[in-house]
Amino acid sequence: MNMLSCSNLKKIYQKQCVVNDLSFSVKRGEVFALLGSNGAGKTTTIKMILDLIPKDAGNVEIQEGIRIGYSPETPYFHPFLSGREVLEFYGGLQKIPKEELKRQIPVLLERTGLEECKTKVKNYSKGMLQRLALAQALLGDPEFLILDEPSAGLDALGRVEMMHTIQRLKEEGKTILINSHILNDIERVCDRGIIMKKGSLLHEWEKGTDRRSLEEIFVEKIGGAKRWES
Amino acid sequence: MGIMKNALLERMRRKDIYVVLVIGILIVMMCMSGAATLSIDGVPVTEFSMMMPMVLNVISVIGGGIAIALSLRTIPNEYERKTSHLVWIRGISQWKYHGQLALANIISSLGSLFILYAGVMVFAGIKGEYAVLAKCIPAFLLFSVSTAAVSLFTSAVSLVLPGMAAGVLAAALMLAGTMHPILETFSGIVSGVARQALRGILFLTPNLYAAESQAGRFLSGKSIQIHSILGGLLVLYICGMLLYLFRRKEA
Repeated sequence: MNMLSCSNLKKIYQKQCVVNDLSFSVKRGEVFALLGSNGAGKTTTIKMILDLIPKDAGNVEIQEGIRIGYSPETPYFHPFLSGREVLEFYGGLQKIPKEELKRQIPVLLERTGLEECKTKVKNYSKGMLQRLALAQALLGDPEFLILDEPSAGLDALGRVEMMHTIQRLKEEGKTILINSHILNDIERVCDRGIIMKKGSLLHEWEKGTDRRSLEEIFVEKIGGAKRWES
Repeated sequence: MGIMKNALLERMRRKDIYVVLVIGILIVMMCMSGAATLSIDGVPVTEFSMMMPMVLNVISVIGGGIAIALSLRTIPNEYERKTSHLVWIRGISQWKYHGQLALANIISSLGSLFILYAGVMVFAGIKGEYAVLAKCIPAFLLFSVSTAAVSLFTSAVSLVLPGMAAGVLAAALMLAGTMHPILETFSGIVSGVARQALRGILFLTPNLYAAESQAGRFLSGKSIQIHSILGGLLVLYICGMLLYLFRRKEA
């Protein structure tokens, strides 16, 4: 059963086609990756899925009645709030009852390793902001998570922790669409994915169907090695 | 109301506004202290009843400027730093989102206006005008309509225009609106293209002065012109409608 189906998506920015005739689907319970170099159109695709920008063509179908959580690439939270207050704010926007929020917030802070952190957001490191972004995405226990570069700017340990968290969410049965540059991480946690180049689908990848590593496939498809050799 | 609360807290942390506010207070205090040699037809203006309308006008212009400065960047900032993404995906309508941000702008603008206006209350107290002092709070409600409209207009145009253009447009509306009687006088004096231009400005801009001057009339015991207050409220309503109609295509 498909949680998300995108068909023939197209987006044009200033006469330049940044996403072109893109079709893919994400099945319930799987972790799906959007891969590609900078400017491949991954974030634009996510924004079209979330209706944050209008599509120029194509269709997005999301299973009816499901809750979606979204963690942006560069999260900004009001610097004068604490992590707990940020979650209270977004939980309030989601109209989660106060009692339920009181129960959820400590669990989410613990899950993202922010339970000990009493300081204001202005004192947060990049890694802590990413974890807070994930925590707010998990508010209301969504079935479908969209994570845009969740490891961006994290150090090695932060990346490992983030991947462990995503792995745990997968084991809980969450469906996850993830956009990342870090191929090793993707290979570890994702079931399927697509490689994009200049807005178009270049290759469909599925774990265990190719003896080569994802990195090798990626370099071959994108043409990175040739670029360096020349 | 969480969006409004956070936007208000953010406004209160802007130090530049406090600097402008202090300068504004100093100007208002100077106007009232007699340090400025103000005279009409060669007669020095020292009486409270004579000074009050002029001081209210000065407060209105400074308060309007602060309202524009406070309201100009609130909504564009939300979109630039992509705070809007996490609001839109939670199903909050643009009207509700922008409305709460605009409300925060209005509250902070009126808060600043009240600080400036408090100078009038202090002055009334010093001069022993206790009857006037008692009327100061209801008069502030009359006085604040035009500043609220300026703030709301700035919020609305900031949705669709770049910062500089929105600021210039809002400042033009505020200045033309508060100087309506002066522009009317000038339009009767000049001729030709200048006259047509002034009449055009008078036609296109709301008479904010008419609404705010009711506060001065109320404080000095004159009858209030209800139609002027209704006119001010109508301008406020139209600005609210602009905020409702102007939409962002992208979060």
